[in-house]
Amino acid sequence: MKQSLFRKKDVIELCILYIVCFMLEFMLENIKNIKINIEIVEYFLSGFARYKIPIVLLFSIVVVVYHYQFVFRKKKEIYCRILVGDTLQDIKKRYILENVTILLLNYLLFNVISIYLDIDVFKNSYLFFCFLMYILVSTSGMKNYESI
Amino acid sequence: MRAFKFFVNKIFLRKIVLCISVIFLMLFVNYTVFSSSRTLISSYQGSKQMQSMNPENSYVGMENVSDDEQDISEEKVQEVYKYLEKNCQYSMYHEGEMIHIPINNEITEIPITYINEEYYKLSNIELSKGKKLNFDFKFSKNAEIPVLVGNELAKDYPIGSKIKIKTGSFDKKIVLKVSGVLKKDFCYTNNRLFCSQEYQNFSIIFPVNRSVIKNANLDLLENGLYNLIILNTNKESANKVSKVIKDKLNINIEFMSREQNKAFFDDYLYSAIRFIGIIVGIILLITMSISIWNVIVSVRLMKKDFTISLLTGLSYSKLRKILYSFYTLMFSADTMIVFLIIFFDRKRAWHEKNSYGCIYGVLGLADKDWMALLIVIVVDVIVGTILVESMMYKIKKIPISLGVLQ
Repeated sequence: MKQSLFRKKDVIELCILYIVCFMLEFMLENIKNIKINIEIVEYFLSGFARYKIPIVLLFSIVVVVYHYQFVFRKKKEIYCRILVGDTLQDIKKRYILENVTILLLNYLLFNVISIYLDIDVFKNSYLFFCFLMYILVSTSGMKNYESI
Repeated sequence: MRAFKFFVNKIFLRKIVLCISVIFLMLFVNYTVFSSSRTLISSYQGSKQMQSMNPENSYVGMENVSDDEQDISEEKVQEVYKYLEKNCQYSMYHEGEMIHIPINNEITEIPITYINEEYYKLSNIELSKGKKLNFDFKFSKNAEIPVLVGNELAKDYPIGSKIKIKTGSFDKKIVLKVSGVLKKDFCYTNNRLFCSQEYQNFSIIFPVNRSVIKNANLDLLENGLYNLIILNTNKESANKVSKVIKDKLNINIEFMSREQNKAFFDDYLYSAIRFIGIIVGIILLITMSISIWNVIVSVRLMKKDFTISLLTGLSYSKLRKILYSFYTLMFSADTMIVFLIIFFDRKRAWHEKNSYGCIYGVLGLADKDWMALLIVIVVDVIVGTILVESMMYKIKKIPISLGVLQ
């Protein structure tokens, strides 16, 4: 963690975004199980359940924004690290590892909640792989900051 | 205009991820607001239409579902109808039955709705062409039953044309004769789900009189009983009907007065508004928080561009105008996308021949769709103002020297 690009604030920010996205997925997945006994509300909610995946994927853009601005903000730090002997490859490896750890923790947290509530688990796996892809894509932006 | 073009091309579009994220988040907000508004508008319209079917001194039947085994036979149901004919003035209908007829040389499934004379009077059906529905006919082997058809169906079956059909409600094939055409986009409210309106552009309205009831199958008769309204009566007589149905068929139907019905609808609508309001409120709160975070990130990333522009003569008021124009552009794109989603959804109903969903409307959208879009625009104005003002607040807090140094 000593050589990490992440500060405490960055980790909290990213965790909040993951929680919001997983929470949205969790809510839309389980919306159909809610029995409210008001047909109008059930009809209204069924509209959201029908478009669950497009809605969640649209919303997951906030994580793309996070990675984009994070890498952009850290360009000077990356450049300075390379100047003092670090390599871009190592920086990328650490960045991916830390990012995946944060993602995995959030992913497991929601699946543990699902197990506890006796709801289908691992239904949010598509979102996990989607975020994984965002992380990998965002590292490609780092090569621009090798020399400023 | 030059400054706006410069900002869009050289600043905003160079951070395309931020623009896309605003468009996506606002699309989610717009869809949520649209779908909640439309549900509430159609529920309100539906509850009003249902209440208009319930005049003074009328009692609407509601089934009390119980575990008791029903004892239904054609003879017993006929006895109930005999009692109704003799002792009350009643309205009944049966909807949702589908029949197959050729339209454009293609066999198409369309709905047929059975209504009696009292229901016809209550529902105030308006016609675009032809004569009012005639209930004075005798249902016999070679009889031609006068019916009303929806506007779209009238293109293939104009007034005077005959339609030969086989339905589950009668044993034999029957011949219908088109006597009138319904007004465009005439709709009934689904009384189980009154936020759902069933458009009748492809429907057939079939008149029910005593001779029809005598020849009808159990399906039509039984369903008709679940949709009974007893007119010009009092609580005692309504309770008597309820008792007759219970004794003969073991079905629990409770008759509710106009006041009880109004209280039920108001309470139901209020609960729905409260639930939908809470859900939409939570969604808006989360999305707004994320959008404001997005705005802060935008300012963080564009700090240099903003401060250089401000240093070289751009005033805060001009910057505010540019931001408002840019956000108007993005929100208009979102509203347009929502419009297109609804437009193609309506078009799909025509393509899939979903009879109840086919509607002409203005540009293919129903009145309630337009009203909901108007609410979306109002919400967009409020959200846009909050986002631009929070962006300006953040920009004003940047010391110009620091921004340039970056």
